[in-house]
Amino acid sequence: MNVKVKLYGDYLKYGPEETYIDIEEGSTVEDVLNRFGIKERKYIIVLVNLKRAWFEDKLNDGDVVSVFSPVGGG
Amino acid sequence: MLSKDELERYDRQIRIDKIGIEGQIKLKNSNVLVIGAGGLGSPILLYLASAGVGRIGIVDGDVVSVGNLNRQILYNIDDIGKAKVLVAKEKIEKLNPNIAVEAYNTWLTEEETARIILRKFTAIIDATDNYETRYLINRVAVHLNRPLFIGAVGRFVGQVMVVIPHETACLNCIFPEREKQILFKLTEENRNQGIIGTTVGVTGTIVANEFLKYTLGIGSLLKNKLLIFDGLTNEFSIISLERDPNCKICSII
Ligand SMILES: [Zn+2]
Repeated sequence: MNVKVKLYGDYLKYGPEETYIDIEEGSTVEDVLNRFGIKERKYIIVLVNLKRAWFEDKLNDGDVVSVFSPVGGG
Repeated sequence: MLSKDELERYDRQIRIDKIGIEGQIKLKNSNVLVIGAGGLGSPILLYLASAGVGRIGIVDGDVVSVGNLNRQILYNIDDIGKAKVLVAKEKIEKLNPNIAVEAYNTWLTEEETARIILRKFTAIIDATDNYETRYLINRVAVHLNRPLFIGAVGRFVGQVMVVIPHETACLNCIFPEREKQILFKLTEENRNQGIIGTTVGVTGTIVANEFLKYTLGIGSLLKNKLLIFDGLTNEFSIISLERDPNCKICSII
């Protein structure tokens, strides 16, 4: 199945802004992060189809995965 | 009605067809509470006061220190050791004597205090520097049904989002409180990673602009959207968001 992955900010060093990748049926958010070699996960925010998602969440064909990290200073 | 001074003062923005006299009166009749009078709060307060927002509240419990001056452009060396809200109030009242300014010289840590202060205003701006206060503000703003304009910064990165309670994603929909501990650490790490004045300048200005557009009813707002600004690459990205139907804060009415 195919998912679209969008990287933002600090995560752009792992790949282009937008990529379509082919992954196995039943793959999770974590599998996608592994595919990109993303190891910085302490403060990572992942959205699947614009909603907050977690590492163990299973993906479906056509899902859009957005990856970024929050800042909190003022 | 606008006075002669007001007509002259706001002339350049009244000329904008989307503002006009009518828009200027909307600004005059509007009010907002700005929480945090630091890096983000400085440009936000200056721009909202100069644009003629009629009533502005300021909350902060801090005093000015020399280490603030690289980015908190409301202050100078004469202000060191003074309460930020009092200095800020004096400065923006001098910038625009046509507006009313209320200063709350306190940290927002208790729900009840937050509720009492936030209730006095019809819109809220979160310009704070830590996630504990950000969660509190989000919680109270959603419960009081007040639109919330959020700015956050770190290094060269700024983030802005607008929350219309029960209509758009709230802070907790995207950064759920179950990760509180992580975000407290993030607050610490953010501080250690530092911040430059230009980042808070750009980010705070966008926050102020969102409030002005909201009040005027013009343009499009960062509703269900998180804007990320990267000052190193000049990239502005907008991430679309959706409400979490199970959000512990905004799914309960
Ligand atoms: Zn929510």
